[in-house]
Amino acid sequence: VGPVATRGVDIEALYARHREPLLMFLARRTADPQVALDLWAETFAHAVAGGRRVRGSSEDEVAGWLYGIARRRLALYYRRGRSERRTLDRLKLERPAADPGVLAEIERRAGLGALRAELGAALTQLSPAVRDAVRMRVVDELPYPDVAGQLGISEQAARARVSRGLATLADLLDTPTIQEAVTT
Amino acid sequence: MTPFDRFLDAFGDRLADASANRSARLRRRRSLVFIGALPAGTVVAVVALLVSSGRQLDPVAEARAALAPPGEIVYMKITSTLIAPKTSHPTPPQTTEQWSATDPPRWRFVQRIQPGREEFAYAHGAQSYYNADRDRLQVRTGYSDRGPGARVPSLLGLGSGDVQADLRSMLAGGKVTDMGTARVGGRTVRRLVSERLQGQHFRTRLIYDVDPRSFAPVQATLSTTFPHMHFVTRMHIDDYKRIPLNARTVALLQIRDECHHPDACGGPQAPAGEVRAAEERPQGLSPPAGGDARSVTAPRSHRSFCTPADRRRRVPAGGRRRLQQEVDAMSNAADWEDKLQENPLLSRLVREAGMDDAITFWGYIGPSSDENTISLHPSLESPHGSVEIAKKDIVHVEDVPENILLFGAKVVWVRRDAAIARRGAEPAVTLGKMKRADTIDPASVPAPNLEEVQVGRLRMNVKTLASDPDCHSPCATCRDCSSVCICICRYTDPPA
Repeated sequence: VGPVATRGVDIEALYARHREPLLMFLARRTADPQVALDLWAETFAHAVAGGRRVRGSSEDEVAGWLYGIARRRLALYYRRGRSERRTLDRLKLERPAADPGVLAEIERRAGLGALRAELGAALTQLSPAVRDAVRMRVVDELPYPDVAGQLGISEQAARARVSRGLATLADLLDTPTIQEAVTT
Repeated sequence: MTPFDRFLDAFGDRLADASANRSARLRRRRSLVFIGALPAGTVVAVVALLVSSGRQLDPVAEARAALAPPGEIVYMKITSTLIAPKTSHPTPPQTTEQWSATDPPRWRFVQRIQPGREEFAYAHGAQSYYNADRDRLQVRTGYSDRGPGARVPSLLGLGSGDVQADLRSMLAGGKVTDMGTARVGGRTVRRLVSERLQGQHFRTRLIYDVDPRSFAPVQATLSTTFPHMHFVTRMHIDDYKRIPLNARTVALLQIRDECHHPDACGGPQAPAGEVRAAEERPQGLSPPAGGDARSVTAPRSHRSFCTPADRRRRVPAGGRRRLQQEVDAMSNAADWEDKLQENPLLSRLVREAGMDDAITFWGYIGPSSDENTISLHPSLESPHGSVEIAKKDIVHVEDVPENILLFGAKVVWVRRDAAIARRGAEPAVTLGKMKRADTIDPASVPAPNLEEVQVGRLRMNVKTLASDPDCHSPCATCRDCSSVCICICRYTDPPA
């Protein structure tokens, strides 16, 4: 990585320190390496775009700022069911394509196999209606109108079911982020 | 190294590139912050070139050292005209003055937009912008004297402010092409051309005409072509000179309250009127000598020197403008002397007729029944109402400017003792010889705006409202509220 000169944050140092932990953080909260990579890349793109607005100066403060960005990207993903890449596009920044080896390594390092088993067990605790809503929204990434249409309920009711399901799964994933996603 | 690590490194490289590009873009944008209010033509020209080049003039320093030693200020006055064929509102020509010096780099632009003035300056790591109309001074600090923020924006990009040096260095670096000599305005110039293509759609072509020997700028034309637009900016260099840099002239490089500057107000020996003007100007606008702590406490922060007390001391906006115009006039002795010239019309009237013996009538000349008289109609709306004036009594005639009266109205100077006949829908009435007001016999003057009223045994004359001449216009008192007035009321005033 070449030298990066931004006045607010040293992006080079930030990336070197947090590139892998942040990716694992996102992978364990999405259970999907591809989605995690998208959110991870978008988070660092935000850091480049907004690095001058950081108020803190210590490593912990800067790390908190970076993970705050990641949580907001994650909450947005939970709420909308898709990962955004606006900042990547704005910066004309393209993340490299991840080959199967990379995806497998992410699964391994994040322990996604065990996580999925726990999630599967947790999903069985959900009622069929809620489980279907969560699956359509989170796994199949359908928009809420489509979820509502397929389940034959209103969009508001679909949102409520997904929220209840995610709240139940919150212990396994990321409670603050899910709470943020379902309340905003 | 695993594929996973290579993947992370690859994205890190792209992230570093994106960050570096963004930083460069922000630096360029900051350099343009205060260019925003330069003349429209200049803005298009400068921004177009900066966007297209994205580079500074690298060899400038050496040439500048040779041509503009630290003890000089390079002064340039430019009149720019933006020609945009598809715009419905053409931009009027605008004038910009600039002063620049080196070691350390300092510069100031003054753009006058009637009735206001805006200034831009750089010195000692701070860019300043002053809006005289709003009495606001903004200062941005944190720039480096070696960075783009210290460079002088011009048609040539971010340069030294010394066009001679910049053009020579660009010519040496192959960034402009020497097209030989040409004739411009009766003089021989050397024509330098620079063309740049940004992407597939954005193209600029700069033609700079300079003195063949000294490279002193004469004029420039910049053509900017977008996919659906084409602008041409023409700039004429009205003045280009070098001024010795000393304790007195260094103020030319600073945004300041002009009346506190010896060049503007003549120093302690300023006439009383100028001193009064200085005292009436709002205080606190000038950065104190040596800088103001408020402007440098936070890097790149917007600061204003206007405190609440300053605002309370301000004079009204209109008063400020007038005051500014007065001070502007004072600041240039040549302008001030030009304004002392005699009014040619007044001179002629005094010489030919004597002002005491002439009065004016405004209106439109209509058909006359007598070749020795003219028929002057107060309005195009009333063709039957007019005054007949003998040609021998006319002293002078001028066209009324269109912004006062439309469709070719005239103002006619007539001898005071002329015989004037007023015509209306009723038969013409001879009004008699005109006399001075102090020689009029009240008993002999008709009083058309008085009406006799009888109440019981009481008979009295009262003013009629309909005929009360209460209209105001450029010719003072009027016959009625038509678009044009005639000075008939001067001798029809009722007796006191």
